Amino acid sequence: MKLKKTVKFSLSTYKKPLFIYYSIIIGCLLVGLLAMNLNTDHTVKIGGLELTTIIFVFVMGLTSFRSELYLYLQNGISRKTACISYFITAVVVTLFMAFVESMCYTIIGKNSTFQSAFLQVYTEMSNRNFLYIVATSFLWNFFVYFAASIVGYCIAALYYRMNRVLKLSVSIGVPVTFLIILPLIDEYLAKGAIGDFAKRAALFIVGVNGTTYHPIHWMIFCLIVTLLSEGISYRLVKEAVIKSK
Amino acid sequence: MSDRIGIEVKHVTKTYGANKALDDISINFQKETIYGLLGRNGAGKTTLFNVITNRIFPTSGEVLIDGQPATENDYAQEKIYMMSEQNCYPETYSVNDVFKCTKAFYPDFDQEMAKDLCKKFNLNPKKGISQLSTGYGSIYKLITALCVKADYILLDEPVLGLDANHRDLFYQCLLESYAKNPRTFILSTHLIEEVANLVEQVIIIKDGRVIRNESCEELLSSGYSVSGTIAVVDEFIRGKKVIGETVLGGLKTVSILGRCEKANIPAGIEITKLDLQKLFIDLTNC
Repeated sequence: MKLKKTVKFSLSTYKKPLFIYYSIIIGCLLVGLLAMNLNTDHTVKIGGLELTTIIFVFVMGLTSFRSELYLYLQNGISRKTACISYFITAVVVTLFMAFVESMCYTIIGKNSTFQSAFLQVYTEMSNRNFLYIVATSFLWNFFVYFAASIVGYCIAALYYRMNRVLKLSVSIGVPVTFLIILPLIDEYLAKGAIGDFAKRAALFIVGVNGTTYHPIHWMIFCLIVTLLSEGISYRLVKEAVIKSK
Repeated sequence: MSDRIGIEVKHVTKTYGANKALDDISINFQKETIYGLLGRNGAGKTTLFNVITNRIFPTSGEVLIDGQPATENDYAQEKIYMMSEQNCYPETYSVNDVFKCTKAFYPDFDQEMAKDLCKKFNLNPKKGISQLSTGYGSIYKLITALCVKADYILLDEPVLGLDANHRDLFYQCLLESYAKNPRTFILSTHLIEEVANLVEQVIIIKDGRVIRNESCEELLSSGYSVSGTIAVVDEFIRGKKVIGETVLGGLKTVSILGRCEKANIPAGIEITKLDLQKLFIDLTNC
């Protein structure tokens, strides 16, 4: 396997997008912090920028699949190597992003009313010491970012391998099921039981139980999602072929 | 195993539903040889290239590159580079980006040569590949292929969209590259007359099967062409293996497989060597 070459090449392609992304984030932060400072009655708040990073890495996974598969096959790299290379690249990129953001957002949060997504979910943890917050939010961010990037890759691989009928069925079926059918069933048949269960499950997964917090629940959940998505992606990529135009 | 054996295609079949694109094909592509892979549209040339380069999987059979399985094998595939009609690079790439990317995976890629060839072909390497015309879209790919120092270079329709001047330049560059750095080139093209003097070995594919696999010289001397008036030619060809004929006015030209016995040529008959394109048409028509 030529993992070293492919990972090195793949990482080099993320330099520019990361630079552009963080330039925009820094710009938004500066504008937001300025607005907060100028606002005397404290009605302006900013925070939760990790959500934009989740979207960024998710889209990274979505767009990487096809472009990297074709580029690697053109240059004599096997599908196995291409897939594993993406996983390794995603680990490095998301580790970097998680580290940068957990450090910066914690420091900014200590000196302003800015709140990271981590502290918005686990509010009581803001009383903990600086290193604990940085370390825990770093791990929390890393697991969710890595999961998002692999899920994006997996979805792209699924769509690539599906035929037209299946694509249409999934694209229409999934949103209709979750946005229309399930709520109707919940309202008229289950009498709200599905909604209650979903709420309790979500709180358990996130690790919030009243005033006790267990971020480890969310990290384990993200890890399970990641491993499942990696397994599905690997299986799908192994038999993917270049489609003739 | 002989040192001369390079790419071995062993009983490869590729089916798409009910359609057999390749039907139990077995070919050995030797090292340091220029091959012409000829076939009509839909004969299976691109499918064969795609199977060899791991872009698609054969339904049955296997491909070996210097004795190693070609499928999902990085070390076997690094010995091959394919120039295909399809673009496999991101649309945002420039020609320079393609060269840099190729260099990352083929460290022996000659960037100086690539720069020189861009000048010769009048290609601006800073231009985006999505902005190039059909001809220049082929040019940047064939420049890339010529500059990769892999042992086996597969060129699928390398001169698609090229004008006569660029085609002539490409053939010159190919021969220069081959002379400087001998390796195997496999060209798939429809411009048979132009490559007839270039290729050493000819493989003709028809309906997914190999119908001819021999040196160009052997192929062209496997028969001859006869022309004359219809009656005289018809008399001469009785009992001979005719593979094609053309009638124009009162004159008839016939391609025959077999040796020509010069002692038995009647008056009014002209014997000429087979023309590769004509032979190809006759073999793939019958």
